Amino acid sequence: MSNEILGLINLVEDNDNLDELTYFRNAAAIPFMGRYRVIDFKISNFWYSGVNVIGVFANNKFRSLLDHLNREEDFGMEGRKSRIFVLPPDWNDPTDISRGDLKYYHNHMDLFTRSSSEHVIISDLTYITNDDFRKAFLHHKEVDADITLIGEVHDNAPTGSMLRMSTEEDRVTGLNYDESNPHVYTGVFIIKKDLLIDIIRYCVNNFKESMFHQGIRERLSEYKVSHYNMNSTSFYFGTVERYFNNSMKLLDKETYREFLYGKNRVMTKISTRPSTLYKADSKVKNSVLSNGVVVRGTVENSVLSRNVVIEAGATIKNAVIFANSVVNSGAYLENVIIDKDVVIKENRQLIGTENKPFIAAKRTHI
Amino acid sequence: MSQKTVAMLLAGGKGTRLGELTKDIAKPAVPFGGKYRIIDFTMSNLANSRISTVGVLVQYSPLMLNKHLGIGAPWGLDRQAGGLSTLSPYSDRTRSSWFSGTADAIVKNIHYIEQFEPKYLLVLSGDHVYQMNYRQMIDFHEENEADATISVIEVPFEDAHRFGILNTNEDGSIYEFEEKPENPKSNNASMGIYVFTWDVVKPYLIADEQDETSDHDFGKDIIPALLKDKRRLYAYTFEGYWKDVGTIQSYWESNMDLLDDNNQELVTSRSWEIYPNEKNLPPEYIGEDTEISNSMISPGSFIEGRIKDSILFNAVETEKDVSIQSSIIHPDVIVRSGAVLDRVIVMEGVEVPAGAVIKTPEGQEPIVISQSNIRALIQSGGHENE
Repeated sequence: MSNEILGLINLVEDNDNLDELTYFRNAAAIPFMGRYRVIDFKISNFWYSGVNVIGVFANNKFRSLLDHLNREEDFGMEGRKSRIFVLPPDWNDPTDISRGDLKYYHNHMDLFTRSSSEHVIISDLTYITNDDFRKAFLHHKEVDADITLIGEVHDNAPTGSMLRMSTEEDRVTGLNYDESNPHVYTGVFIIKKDLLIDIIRYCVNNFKESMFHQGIRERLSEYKVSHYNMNSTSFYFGTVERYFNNSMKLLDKETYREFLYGKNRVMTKISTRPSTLYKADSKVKNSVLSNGVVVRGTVENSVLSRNVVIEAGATIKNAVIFANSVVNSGAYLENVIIDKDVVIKENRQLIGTENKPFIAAKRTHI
Repeated sequence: MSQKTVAMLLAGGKGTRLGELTKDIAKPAVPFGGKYRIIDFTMSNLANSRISTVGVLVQYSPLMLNKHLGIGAPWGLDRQAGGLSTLSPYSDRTRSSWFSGTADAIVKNIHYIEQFEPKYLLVLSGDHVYQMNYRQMIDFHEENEADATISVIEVPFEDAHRFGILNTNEDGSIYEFEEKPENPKSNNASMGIYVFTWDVVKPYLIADEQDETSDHDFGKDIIPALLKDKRRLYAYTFEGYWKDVGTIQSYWESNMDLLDDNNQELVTSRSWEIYPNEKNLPPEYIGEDTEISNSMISPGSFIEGRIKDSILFNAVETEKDVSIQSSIIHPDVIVRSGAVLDRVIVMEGVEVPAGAVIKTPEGQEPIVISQSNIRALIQSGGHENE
């Protein structure tokens, strides 16, 4: 079973709007809900779907990604043959004519040709769920589809960036950005491996730049393209606003429990920092706190990553704070995203809005 | 494959005085300090001291301990050369017997030690809470060209009669060892941590095995025999936090010590980290109506209610209106709404029902709440039916 399907996380096509959050890191490595990074959800989705070899196309700023994905066993990917391959751009073939993300598909062709899997599941970062794709894969095999696009019916899907599907019975007949159509394509699809290799060759030989758009979306009628709808709690990433709102939505106790502690428990790189310390005068409400955090102040509706320190007399509300940052006494933060290794000085007031949180970039002292 | 130092970690004892806590698990495997088990301190000391050949001697209820240790991965001991070996009692063509004393456990594993042709043998206990660089102790042993070095800690004179006391000359050499002396001459208490020059101690261990009157104990038998022969024995003074978690009271106290700013480095240190066998749980969720002060809370937990001066381990759930004070709550415990706990220890997996009130009366050792005694405790309002 586990050899039937190979996983690929394609980070190359991401043209994100994540501002300061991606100055120093790949979007996939953005911390999320305390100890996680966005890519953890993809890795776990794949693992629970029966995938045990995952390739990751990473185009830039992949240092934190390499570090994070260093140990497969941290992600519960046990077994001798379970592997995560982070595949950076590194090739020196002067005869190479591939362009766009085809460069990655073409130059990392070994990932596909060496695998004994007959199918490949490919995902970008946008759609986050804690569900797996087992049923989608079963459907893909049952109807003997060439390609199965994974979708969901979503009335409030983000506009402008999420493709919508037109279907006739089981066939997908069109993909466009028509916002009035609630049938969203999630950015995850399953494809027969041999067909994928053919499409890659076609695209390279015809100077195409996007495997999905030019190799699949523009040629839907040439293949048997099926679709499968997910029906579970999901979030969409891609902008600062969405990132922030998703974090706040997950502060609902039952949503948090279902999403992070439910049947497919999301795994991440292990941390050996001690339990969170709540000092004598701390006041904490409706928040999520990670290992190594020390709280002396007031924390409300907030998400704190590892080793964050909230000093006495500091107050934070609706805040997302990344690892190792310190909020000094008397500071007041509301609707903020504080990146890693930031120091907020005493009595500082930083206030954003729900739709436009204030962002403090990594390593700044404010 | 030769290794300069082989560490032997004694983890087989029953820990009788820990009562209910060690009814089903070995003392070194008892949960400690939020994310750890007691043995993690010694294992992490080994990792941080870069000692990579470690035999752990197990005997009493080793299931949880063996599972926790695995192949030593959390401490970087999953190695091709040396690494972690779990050594349990075994039978061979000549005998089959249990370990019957600390020295006996080592003698029965001489073949394990010998395969590394070590220069030094480091003997440790799996039930102490401390941070110690064994490398420095071995250097001290080497500088003194000692045959044996015993780690000591200064204890208050009035407590000295409870320990094995080492009397030393000015240069640190030991001239006398007194087990629990009535009138102690010094307050240097043995910590039960030894470095031996292997070639020197080996014949003593073998001779001791033949002696039917011996208790086969390092403190009672091996050290006195070495002293009698005027071997070079030195005391290595350790300064810092050290606790032998021997009783329920001292177990409770040493956990509570972690809530004190002065001792927090025991778990927060970055330069001498203590490594748990991490469970990869989501960060804890703190709910709407909570009041938490001077407490530790661990991943996978969902917290409501009032928590004061307490240590909560992994995946604990407390419901609304609970009141938990001065207590230790082990992993996977559920405390249902309105329950009141005061100075108690709740063992792994126990569900405390709604409205239950369990308090340890003043002046008594903290009550240990387990699956088997919780009903009786609730009926009696804190006192277990005898």
